[in-house]
Amino acid sequence: MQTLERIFSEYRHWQQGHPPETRRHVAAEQLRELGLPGVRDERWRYANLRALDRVQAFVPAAVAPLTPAPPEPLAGFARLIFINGQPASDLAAALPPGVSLLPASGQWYTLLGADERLALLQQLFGAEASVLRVEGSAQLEILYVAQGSGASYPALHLELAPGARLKLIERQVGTHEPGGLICPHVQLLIGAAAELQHYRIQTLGTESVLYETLSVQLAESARYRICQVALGAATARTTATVRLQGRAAAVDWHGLSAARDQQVNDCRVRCDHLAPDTHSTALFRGLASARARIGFDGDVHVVANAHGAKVRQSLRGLLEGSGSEVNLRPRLTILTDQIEASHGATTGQLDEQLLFYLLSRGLDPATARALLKSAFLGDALAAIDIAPLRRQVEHSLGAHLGDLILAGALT
Amino acid sequence: MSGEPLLSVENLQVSVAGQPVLRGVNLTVQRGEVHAIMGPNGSGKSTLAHVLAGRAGYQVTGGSVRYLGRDLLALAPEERARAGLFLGFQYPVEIPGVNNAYLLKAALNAIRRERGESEIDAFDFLTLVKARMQTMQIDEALLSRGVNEGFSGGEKKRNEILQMLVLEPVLAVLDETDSGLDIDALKLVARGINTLRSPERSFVLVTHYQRLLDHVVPDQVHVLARGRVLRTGGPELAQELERRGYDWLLEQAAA
Repeated sequence: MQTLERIFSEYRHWQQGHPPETRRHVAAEQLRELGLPGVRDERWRYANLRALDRVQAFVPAAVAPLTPAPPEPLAGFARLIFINGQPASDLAAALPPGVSLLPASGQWYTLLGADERLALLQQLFGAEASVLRVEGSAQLEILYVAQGSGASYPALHLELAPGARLKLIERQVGTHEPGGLICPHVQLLIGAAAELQHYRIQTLGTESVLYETLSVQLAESARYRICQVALGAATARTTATVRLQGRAAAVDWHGLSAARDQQVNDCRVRCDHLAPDTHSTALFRGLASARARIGFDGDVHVVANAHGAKVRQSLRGLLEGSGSEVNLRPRLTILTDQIEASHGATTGQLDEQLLFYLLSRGLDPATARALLKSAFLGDALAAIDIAPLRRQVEHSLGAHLGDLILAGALT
Repeated sequence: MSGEPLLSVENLQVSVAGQPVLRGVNLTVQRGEVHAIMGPNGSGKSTLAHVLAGRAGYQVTGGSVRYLGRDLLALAPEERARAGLFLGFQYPVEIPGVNNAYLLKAALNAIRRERGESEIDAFDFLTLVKARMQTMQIDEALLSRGVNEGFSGGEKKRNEILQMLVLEPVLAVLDETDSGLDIDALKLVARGINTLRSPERSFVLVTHYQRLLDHVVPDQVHVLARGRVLRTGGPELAQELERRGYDWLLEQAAA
């Protein structure tokens, strides 16, 4: 049976035990119309879509008690925990001042484009998104834990009121059994002159399959700064859509992927400049070793009236191992003359000149290589301006790569 | 080992991509000596420096190099460095992201471990480095920057000498460290070298010009051309080369 038909079959069977919801019905219709993505679609070219075919069951996994030890909490950050896509406890009680839990809207989500079609799986099988609103200034950490088998569909809808400030850490952690699926959907609405600093750290176990959708809309003079670190999972795909809707809205995207063995990790960021004086930067560093594959597709569109827009992209890949791949695609579609744009994409192996320089100073080859790899990733790591979080990420990175990320080594 | 030269290069032959570059170089350096290697472009000066430091891409097709009584060519580059051999690069690379201070400390500790010493204390390290930076007139702010990242040409060369001052090598091979320097920077580089001169330490200065040798007086000057040492003399040879160039030597060699 084709995967799409299997999804519908499971859905029909599963929904018999649940009250009918319009949003699910609408999502099913949309999914039937759009179909699942295929490798011939350029936007999914580097994704591992076969993993979707190997998902054992699309119905949501049961809520389970938290078994793995969560990462150390960070001082000053309130923590919310979702296990297999569902809140582990009363969210409202855990929220910090300035953040409130709103009642579920009961409305269905309108896709920002066909890119987001896998978010329809969340609509189909997942609970309604938790809706949070931020006013003033706040710091929040959300831990998504996947464990056991089955599928999980975390969903978050977060609104920043005009002028609000939020530091948001999202972590995907846990260990799945083979055939499991994690399919989150996060929607962010950033109000006028509001600022969101977003840190997404993915350290899932090596059997996990993750297809996540991130939808971001920015109002006038809103700022969105994201640092996304992807280390774990057998297959991880991020589909992000960022809409700069208000004048002078700005996004800074920092991405870091490190993949080993046969991991496949790809990220697509579609960024629409829809208003004048909007700015976007994308900095991506991908390190692929053994037979791992990494992809980054930075797809920027600037509409005709978005004069004064600025676009910068710096995408770099580092290959270790003859079977590794890094595919970088900087793409700009510009419909206005009044724009500053620059982009660059390079992929290669460690520079032998740099390596020799370090060896000539007495460093052993393993340390020299680790140092150069750390430096390569340093640009992206530098975006993590929360010191204890950065230390945790460096530790995870070191464990993942089997190299030391040398404390104090980087500028 | 007593009486054995610090460095003994005998009939060294080296090819790059199958093309002979060094065709039988002989060089003997005793402890405490400063040797200058001069010669026209393409004579093999930098090749000699890199082969001594162990850079890949050079095929040694004949001859031998002994250093501190050991077969230098059998050692990996990092082993040579830990044994006290320092290469000052003609074109020091930029390593964005790697902290200057970290590299200095890691390099120093690698050498100390080799000598059976403990790692240097953080305070002692900073005291040492800051004193050396003062000698080289390098801004302390550069310590926390990436290695040579955004440095001017002169700053890079001074940073090479700073590393040498901190690591206190037994043998320093400086590959055209004087090239591209203005007169003030040249004097600073010379000051760095002279600071370190001692009866136990030797230098091989690869240079195009005599001007560095106005400030660092060598014990011997060698002219390398067409992959061989054509002439060896004292400091006066460098002055003669400055006046007459290299052609007369090349003509004599061809005769």
